[in-house]
Amino acid sequence: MNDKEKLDKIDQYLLGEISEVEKDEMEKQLQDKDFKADYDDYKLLIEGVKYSGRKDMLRKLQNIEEESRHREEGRSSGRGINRYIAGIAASVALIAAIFMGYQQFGKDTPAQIAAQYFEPYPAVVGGATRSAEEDKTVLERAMQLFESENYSESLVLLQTIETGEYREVREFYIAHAYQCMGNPAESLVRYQALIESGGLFREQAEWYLALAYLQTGDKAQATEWLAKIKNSDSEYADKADKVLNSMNQ
Amino acid sequence: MTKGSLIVSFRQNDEKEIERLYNQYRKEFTTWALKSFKCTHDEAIEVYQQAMIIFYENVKSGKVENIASNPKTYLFAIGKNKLYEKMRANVRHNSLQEDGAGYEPEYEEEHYENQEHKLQAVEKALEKLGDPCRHILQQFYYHRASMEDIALAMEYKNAATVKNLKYKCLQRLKSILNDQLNGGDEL
Repeated sequence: MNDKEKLDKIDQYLLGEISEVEKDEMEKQLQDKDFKADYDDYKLLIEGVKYSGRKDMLRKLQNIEEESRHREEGRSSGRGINRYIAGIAASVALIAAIFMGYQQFGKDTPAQIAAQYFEPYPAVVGGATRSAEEDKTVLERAMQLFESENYSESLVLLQTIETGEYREVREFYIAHAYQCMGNPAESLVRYQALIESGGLFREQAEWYLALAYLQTGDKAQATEWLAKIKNSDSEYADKADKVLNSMNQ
Repeated sequence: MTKGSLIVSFRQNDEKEIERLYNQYRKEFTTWALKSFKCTHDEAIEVYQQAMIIFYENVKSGKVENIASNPKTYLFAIGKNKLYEKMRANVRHNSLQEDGAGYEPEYEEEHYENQEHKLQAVEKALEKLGDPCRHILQQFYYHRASMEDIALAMEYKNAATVKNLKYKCLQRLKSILNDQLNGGDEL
């Protein structure tokens, strides 16, 4: 294998563009001291290039932030008029949304309405700033499985995590995995426990609990929770309002 | 804009789309972060930018295609996770100070610091390398652009030319890095 071919292989391996068979071959080759030394050199260069790219991206975002702040400062004098216009636009949007909701969901069952609004909560623990080669915790592996919609295997791993500092994350994703697997009844008690503990996933637990009630056909409980969410400052308040409108058609 | 077209725009390095997405959720995110985590506005912005970067990188690497959620949900979920990490780090730091113990970096932190130094050295070497090499390498490894796309954007003959250049650029980068190290620059 010449140097160019070697680099191609290393590229594919590090960028995750390699088959399982090729991956096994690569891992065997990495037992070779000289190959491993070359691999380490390239890996550092590639990680360094990505590091520099990430810093450039951060600088771009900082520039966008600066421009946004300047725009906001410049606009402050005309804020009264803008608010008036925004108010009218919001009212029009709200009327349109209610109308659309009526058109779209008028004849749907609770479970069908839930299906319209249900989307899995993203599984993001750790993030992409760490290299793929670093050890992953059990939680991170569970999150990867969850992200690839392999909920059953994710659930198995989540259940092996000790209840420590990740207790809330673990409990939320166990409940959510059940729901995503089409077993909302199993998630109800778990979401309720999360809501009672009032932690970081409270708003998510409330929203998904309401949808779980809809999915199980318990319209009364769903309505109660949706109304609670709608009247709170939850990030799901607007969505809850829309679901309630759909249910009332 | 739909999730699908957003992903296409990101894949094509559409800077306007990055700016549009950034501005679309910026205010909502900071308001939510200030309320939910009692952080400062600057901290909220810092975390929002980190979330944007992670989102961008995950779109580029194809990870986001498997997720049935919209950009807002994704950005907020990453942001929550980052704010949560920040909060835990603050608690840990404060409890160390309250215990009266000096702050001793643990092995893992030392490892990350060392790795950071190495990456900074490569970054410095990359600056010395300059364009077009720097641009080709960043486009390929960070923005995950294909050889064909790089050839088209930079007006090279074809993908094979870019592939050959990329190889030469990496060799040159390696040599600059080695010179830096042998010349006494700290890693």
